[in-house]
Amino acid sequence: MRTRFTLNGEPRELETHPMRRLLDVLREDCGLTGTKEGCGEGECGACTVLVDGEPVVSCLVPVAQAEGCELLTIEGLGGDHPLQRSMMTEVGAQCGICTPGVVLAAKALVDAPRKPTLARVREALAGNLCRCTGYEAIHRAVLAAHAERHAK
Amino acid sequence: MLGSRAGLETTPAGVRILVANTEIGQGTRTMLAQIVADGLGIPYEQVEIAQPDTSVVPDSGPTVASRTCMVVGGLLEKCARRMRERIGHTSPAEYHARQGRLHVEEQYAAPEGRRWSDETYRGDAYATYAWGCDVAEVELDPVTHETRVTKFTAVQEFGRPIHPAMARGQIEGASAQGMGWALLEHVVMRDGQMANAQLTNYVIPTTLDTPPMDVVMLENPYAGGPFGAKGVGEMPIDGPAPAVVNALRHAGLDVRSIPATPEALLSTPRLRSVNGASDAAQEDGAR
Ligand code: FES
Ligand code: FES
Repeated sequence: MRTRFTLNGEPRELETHPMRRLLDVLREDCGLTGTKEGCGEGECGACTVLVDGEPVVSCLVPVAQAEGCELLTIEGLGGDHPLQRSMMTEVGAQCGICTPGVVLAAKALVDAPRKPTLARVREALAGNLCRCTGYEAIHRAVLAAHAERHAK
Repeated sequence: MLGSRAGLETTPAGVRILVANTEIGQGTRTMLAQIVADGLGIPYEQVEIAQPDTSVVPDSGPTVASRTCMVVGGLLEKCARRMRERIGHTSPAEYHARQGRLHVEEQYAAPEGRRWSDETYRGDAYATYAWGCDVAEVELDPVTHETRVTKFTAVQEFGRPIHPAMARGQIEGASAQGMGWALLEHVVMRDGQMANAQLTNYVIPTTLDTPPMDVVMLENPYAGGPFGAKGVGEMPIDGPAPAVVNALRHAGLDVRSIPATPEALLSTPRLRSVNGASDAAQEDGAR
C-alpha cells in the first residue's frame, strides 16, 4: 500500500505493508535510526515521535495511521534545540537509548511560554523510562532549556 | 588484575588512548580523555580513544569493580606524564609530524604494602575503598501499604571526582535503581529463567516514582588515583535499598526482604518496639 506523510518537514511517499510498525518504517525504510526501540510493547517511550505535534510510541502505531500526518523524529530537530543543548550540558543522557524519546516528549513543555513546575515535568515524562540517570539530570535539562528558550 | 596495561600514542591530530575498557554510558570515554588531556596539558578535543578491541589495544583488565577510573585512569595519567617528558614543549601533533608515532605503555603494579597474587587470586583485592551514606525518607500508607520515597540524600566520598556532573549522574542513576530494587523490582524465576523479563511485568521506577535527590560529593583526594580519584561506578547502588528498608523498619514493619511491595508489606509482621514508631508498638500492645 502507498503511504504518504510529511517527515521532518519533507513530503514522503512509500510503498509498504500498512500494518508495519511506524518505528520500523522510520528506521529501516527512511534510514532514521535516531528513534530507538526499548521494549517494543509501549512501556518505555524510547520510540517516541511526534505525530501532528503529539507524542506517540511508534512501536504501537501501524504506519497506515500516519497517512497524511506530520511526523517529527529526533533528526528533525537538527541538533540545536535548546533542550538538545541542555541535555548535553546537564548530562541528561548516559547510555542515550531513552534520549531521543525524552527530548521529543519534553519538547512541548520547553517550547510553551509558561514555565513548567517540576511536578509538570515529571508528569510529562512519566511515560519515558530511563534506567541510567535517575531522571534528576533530565529534569534539570528541561528546566534549563525552558529558561534559555524564553530568556528575554 | 596486576598485569593490566594501558597505552597512549601520538596521532596527526594529537593522541589516541589505547585501553580495553568499554564505554557503556557511564562516561569512561570522557573521563579517560580528561585525564590524558590534563596529564599532557593539551585540549580535550585532541584526545581520541581506540575501539576497545584487544587485537589493537593492550589488555587493561575488565570494565568492572569501579576500577576503570582509578586503575586504568591512573595508568593513563602515568602514560601522559611520560609522554610529556619525552616530547618536551611541542604538542603531540607537532611531535608526530616531525618524529613519527610515539607510543608509551604502563603496567599496573600493586601499591606499596599491598599483597596480591595473580596465581591464587588471593590477597588484598582492593587498594582502597570509597565510602557512602544514604538517607531515605519514606511515606507508608497504613491501609494500602504503598511506600513512596519522598526525599533521598546520598553522601559519597570517592576521592576527587574527575567529571563532577557525570559523577553526580552515576550517583543519581544508581540511587534510583536502588530504590526500584527496594520497592518495585521483582525478578520471578521459573525453570532457571527470568519469567518476567518485559517492562510490562518487571516494573522499574518512572519519573513519578523517583524522589528529589540531594547528592553530596565529599572531596578527599586519594594519592593512589589519577588526580586524586577513586571509583564511583557501583558504590551508590549499594546503600539505597538498605536505607529504604531501615526507614520501613523505623515505621514499625519488620521488613527482611526486598522488594518491599505492598503485597509483601501486608503480610510483614510489626516490630515490637521501635524508637519513633510508638503507634505501631501501641497497636501491637493493644492486640
Ligand atoms: S519501544 Fe516503544 S514504548 Fe518501548
Ligand atoms: S540514559 Fe540510559 S536509559 Fe536513559
